[in-house]
Amino acid sequence: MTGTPLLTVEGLDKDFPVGGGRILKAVQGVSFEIARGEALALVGESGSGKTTTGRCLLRLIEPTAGAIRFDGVDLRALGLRRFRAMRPRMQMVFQEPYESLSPRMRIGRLIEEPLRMLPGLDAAERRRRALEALAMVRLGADAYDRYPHQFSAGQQQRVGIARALVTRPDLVLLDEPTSALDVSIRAEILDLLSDLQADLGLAYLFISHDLTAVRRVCQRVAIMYLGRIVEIGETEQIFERPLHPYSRALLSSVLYPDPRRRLSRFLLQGEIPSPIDLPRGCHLHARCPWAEDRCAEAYPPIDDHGQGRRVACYRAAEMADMRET
Amino acid sequence: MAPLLDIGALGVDLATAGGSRRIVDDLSLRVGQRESVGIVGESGSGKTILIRAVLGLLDPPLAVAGGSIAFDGRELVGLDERRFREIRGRDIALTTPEPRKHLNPLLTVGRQIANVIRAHRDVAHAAAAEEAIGLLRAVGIPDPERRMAAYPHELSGGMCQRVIIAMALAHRTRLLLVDEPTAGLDVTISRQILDLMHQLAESHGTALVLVSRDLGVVAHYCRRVAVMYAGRIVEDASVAAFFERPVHPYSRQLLRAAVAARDGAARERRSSALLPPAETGCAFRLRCPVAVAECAATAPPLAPLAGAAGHAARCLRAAAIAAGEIAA
Repeated sequence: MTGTPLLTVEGLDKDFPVGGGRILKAVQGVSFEIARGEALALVGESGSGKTTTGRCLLRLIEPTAGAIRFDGVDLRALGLRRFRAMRPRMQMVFQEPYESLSPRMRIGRLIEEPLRMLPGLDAAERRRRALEALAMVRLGADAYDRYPHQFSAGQQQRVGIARALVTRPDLVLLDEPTSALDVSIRAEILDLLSDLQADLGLAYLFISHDLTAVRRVCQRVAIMYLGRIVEIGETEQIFERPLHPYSRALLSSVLYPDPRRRLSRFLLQGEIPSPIDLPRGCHLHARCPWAEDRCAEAYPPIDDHGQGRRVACYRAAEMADMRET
Repeated sequence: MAPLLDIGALGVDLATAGGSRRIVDDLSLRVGQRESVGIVGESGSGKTILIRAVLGLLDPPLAVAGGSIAFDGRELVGLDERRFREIRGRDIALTTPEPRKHLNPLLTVGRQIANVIRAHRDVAHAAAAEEAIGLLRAVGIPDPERRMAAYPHELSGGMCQRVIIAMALAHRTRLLLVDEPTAGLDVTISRQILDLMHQLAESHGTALVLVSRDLGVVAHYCRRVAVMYAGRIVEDASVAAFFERPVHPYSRQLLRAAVAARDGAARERRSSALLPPAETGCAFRLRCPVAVAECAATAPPLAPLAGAAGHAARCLRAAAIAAGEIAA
């Protein structure tokens, strides 16, 4: 990809005071770029900071430090009015489709709602745009006059997506869009997201706890653990050869629906530490089967491993040569 | 050997203003001693209601409307609440995606486990506490001496799951029902918990029933699988046979979707997943790629497949599908 990235995040920090003078460092030094038309996944477990990162981008919360540039514009320097004018270009799809849709509003009005951010659209134009968005998510025009409860969970999520698309955004933030759905519906929504990205040239930031869910949609993946990106790179490369022990453990945890496939033994010990009480050194060291003394001393630098891959692990180069145990 | 749990032709009704609706129907399932069985189905298939029926936890408007549930030879349907309470938690334990709910919020976890030990055997407080520490260590809780004094709200969901498993160990529970074993747990934790349950089953002879939407869990942690659709079991098979060659068209769709969900390359094109179950005939026929006119007229029974011991399917076309004569 060439030209300026659509989104650049640099050195993002977000602290939350938690009382007693203590600070929860939810996000620390997070940097990544998303090119136009590119889908990047932000994957992590609870406490990883993936959701906080997403909310900082849309300024739903204010970051503590760092720069966020959208299409070359420094978002943090914008006044609220100018930021609002920018917002239709960045939309969001939520996890719980039903809860994110007001039950008393008809689907048509729900989808048209974000258009109020755009000046100069009359009722007829808004309706035309809503019908166009419904068609994009493969729902019939008859959905326009119906209510959310008349739809299945999968259809409701389509409405949620239509609502994000109606302003013709450049970037859509997907916050666990399939986590609440059954497996068969999940596959349909992932296919739809993948098609929409290709057809409309959309960029996505796909936030998920499930590495496998993002595989078919995202070209690149950033894996987060306790506030930091531990590995970032092209999706297929990370799936084929994860270089960070945490990425490897995440992949090992996937249970393929095939009893003949051997379960990986590369597992982490113990629980995820509290983000209020972060371990010294690498955040993973106490759980990592590969930890050495230096891992408990200082957080490893995030090093370049070629082809856009960056990994924060002292032993990443050795991991590259390691075979499945 | 007699099965540990023997469910026969169970029906559960939902009372509504317009009369009652059958939501679990003609459900027969056996779980042997030490066996691990996976019950698979999507939301609304009735799998959680089945588990609640086994534990006598159905509340109106839901009620058992026929059939039997025998646990170790004892009929549970119609058992009074007092008797049920003796069985629940002791002989049969349950964990759900909200494990904290099954613990007493007002007592430390050490006390709860010690109470269980003392309910069974006449041992002193100190000895029971000592045993409880050992159990917490056995289920992989670090620093168990300190954790003894923790209240459930101070522990993570994964830790609470471990405490419930420790209590099941203390009770020498014979059947552990696990509703959605991986829901609500982080992925690196859920593998640890599944391994722990598996070890418990192996070392203590506890039978496991894992209810899950995730075929991956069933493939690796169960010996047998029962697939539920619209309140009925539509296929019952060994895990090896099921994943090699599922027979019911619904099972086939489910497995294809699960493989597609795990494997970025495959794509499943289907829009019929949105259709509701049919009210008459085979419930799946509206979504079924091989349905014939007869499927609308007859609700098929769960019938054994010829030449495949222990494999049964609720489909008129099962024999032809199993023989590879039609592709479902």
